[in-house]
Amino acid sequence: MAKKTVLMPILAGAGFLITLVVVQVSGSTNEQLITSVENGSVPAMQLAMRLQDDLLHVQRALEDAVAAGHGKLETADAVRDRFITDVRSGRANAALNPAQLQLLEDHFQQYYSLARRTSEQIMAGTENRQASLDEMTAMYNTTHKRLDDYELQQKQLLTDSFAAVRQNNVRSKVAMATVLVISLALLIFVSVVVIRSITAPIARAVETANRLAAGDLTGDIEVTSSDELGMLLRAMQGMLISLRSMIGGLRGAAVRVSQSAGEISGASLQIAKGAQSQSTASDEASSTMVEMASQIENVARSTQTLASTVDETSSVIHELGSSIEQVARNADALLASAEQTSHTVGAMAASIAGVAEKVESVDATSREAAGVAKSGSQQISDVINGIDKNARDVGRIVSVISDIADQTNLLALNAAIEAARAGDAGRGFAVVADEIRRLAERSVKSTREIGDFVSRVKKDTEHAVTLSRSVLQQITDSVASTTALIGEVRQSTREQRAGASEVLTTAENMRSIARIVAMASSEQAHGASEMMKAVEAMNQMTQQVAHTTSEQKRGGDLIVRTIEQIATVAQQNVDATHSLAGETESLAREAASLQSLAESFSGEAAA
Amino acid sequence: MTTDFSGPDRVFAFADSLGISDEEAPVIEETTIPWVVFMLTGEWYALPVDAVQEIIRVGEITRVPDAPSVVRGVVNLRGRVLPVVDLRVRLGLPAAEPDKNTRIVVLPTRGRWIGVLVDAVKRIERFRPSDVRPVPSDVLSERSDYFRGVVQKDDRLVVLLDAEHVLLVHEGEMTNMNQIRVTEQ
Repeated sequence: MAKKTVLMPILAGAGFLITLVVVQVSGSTNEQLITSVENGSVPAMQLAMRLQDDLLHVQRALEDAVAAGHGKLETADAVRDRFITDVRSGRANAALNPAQLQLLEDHFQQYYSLARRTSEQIMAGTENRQASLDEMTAMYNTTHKRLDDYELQQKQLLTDSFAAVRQNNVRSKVAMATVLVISLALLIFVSVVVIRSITAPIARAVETANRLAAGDLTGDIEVTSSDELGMLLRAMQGMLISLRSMIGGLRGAAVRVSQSAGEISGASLQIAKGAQSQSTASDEASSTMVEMASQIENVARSTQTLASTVDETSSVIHELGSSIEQVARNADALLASAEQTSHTVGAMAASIAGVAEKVESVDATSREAAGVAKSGSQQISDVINGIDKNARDVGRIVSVISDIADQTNLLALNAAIEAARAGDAGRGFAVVADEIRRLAERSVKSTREIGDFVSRVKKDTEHAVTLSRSVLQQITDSVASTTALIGEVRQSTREQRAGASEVLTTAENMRSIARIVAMASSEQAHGASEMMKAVEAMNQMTQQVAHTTSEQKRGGDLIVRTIEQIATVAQQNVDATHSLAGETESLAREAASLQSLAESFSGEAAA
Repeated sequence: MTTDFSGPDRVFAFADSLGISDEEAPVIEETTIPWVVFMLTGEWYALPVDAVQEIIRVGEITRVPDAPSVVRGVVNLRGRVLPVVDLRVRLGLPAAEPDKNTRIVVLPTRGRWIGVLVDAVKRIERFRPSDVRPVPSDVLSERSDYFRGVVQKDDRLVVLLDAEHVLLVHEGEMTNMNQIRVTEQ
């Protein structure tokens, strides 16, 4: 491809080179022609014209000489010399034909010699001059004619040269145009070819890529060229082949995954169904077991109630037995105490008599004590009252002192104010006033302390007065109550003494009754003991029943718990299989979508 | 060193030998100003000594009809009728009945004698003017110009009052004292 693309500029360059060569060639030809015109034809024409002129001058000089008749032909000779010089200068030009010029010179020489001779003859008056003149004229005309011919020839040469130049130009133009047209056509052709050779494979590659993008993997890519585009197409062909095999594998895998997912889904559905039925079954078992357990529990409860009832009965009987025993024991104790009482009452009766005597004497003593206490308390009260009065007096005095101190303080304050108002003059006085104030404050403080002390004393004495009063009152009161009590005791002992003998009799009676009671209660206690034994046995039995049912209940509970666990596990299984089913469904969906995606790549993989 | 204390002026010579001169005697500082310190509702206040005529005990106070609300009544001071202003009421504090510590501070103001009822008079105190701090302005109204300031004395604050302004009563300033007390706590 690079070679092809390079071809175009090379072609263009070649065209331009050819054009350049053509231009150069025609230009040099023209140059030569123009040079020959410049160097040859133009001087030749000039020479011809000058020679014509010289010839005319020679003729005229001769005619002048003839007309003058003096026979002097120097002017004509000078003109002839000029003619010769001109011709010779023309011969010096290499571009001019020397032979032709030589011819012209010779002819002129002939003419001139004839003309000179003729002229001399005319001047000499020789006969036959007409013939010489005619000859000379003929000669002149010939020479003139020859010069004209020469000029004409040169003119023709010039014209020819220009024509040649013009023709040359035309030729070169045509050649240039031809070359340009040819090279342009060639360029266009090559360009079209090159562009076509580049774009056609690219278009094929684009088409193939589009097909690949659309998922069409059918068909191969033809590779004809071996350039870069050929390489690209070959790479695309390789890609297409590997893609085709990949998609084929993918589609197979998708189909297989889809099948597997379907199978898993079916299996998980079956598992779910199984787990569901297991769950239902375990639920049923659980509910049955729960029912059973509750029934067992009912039995246990009933048994427990029975046991507690038996327990109660037992305890009641126990209590009854123990109370009967207690009664028996009490009866025994009663008997014993009745006997004891009987004895004691006897002793008591004797002692009561002694007590009565002592009480009489105590009564007398306490009466005496009451009188003493009353008088003592009166004395104490008097003394305390005296202290109180003194304290009051002191307090009054202290308050007077306090008042004085207060006034002193006020005076001192006023004095200090005066002193302060007096300024410097009062400074000494201010010190005195301050001292007085301090003194007064100390007095106030002391009197306050005294006052506090006195009030404390007063408070103490008042406290003492009230305390002594209450204490003495208590003493008096207690003495009085003692006396009264002793009087009562005296009375009761008197009554007791009378009742003691009656008690004694009653105790004797009681003793005999107690003996009877003790006997009866002993028998009763025996019967109660038998009953107790029976109840114990019953209690034991019910306890065994209760124990058994409780164990049964425990077992049932265990079963219920186990079944509940099974149900939970089954439920978990159901959930798991449900989620599995969901997962496989989504897997199946994914596989289906994968498959359809793979289907969208139409190609040989469909096989 | 032995000095012979002989001659008629031996006593002076002895005194000189003790090295004590008048200049060294303790003097009261010139810069201090004496104040009469008194109490109101347990707090300490002071009036300048210059403004105080004297301090008297409270005798019988005769009520006067149509008197200003701060005037508690009049008393007889050595034949002179002395109007008595209850300083508690004046400063917006709760009024109280006089007891044995209650005093009347007599202020000779504008040529008149006016008594001011206080709870108790403590003593004359001298304060340096530099120790006097201004009352915080944000608790005062512009009419509360009877405060000269506060001064610290033995961990207590003493409120310094102006004798003349404390007797000038404007409208609506009777409650300022309560505000100040709240602020000081």
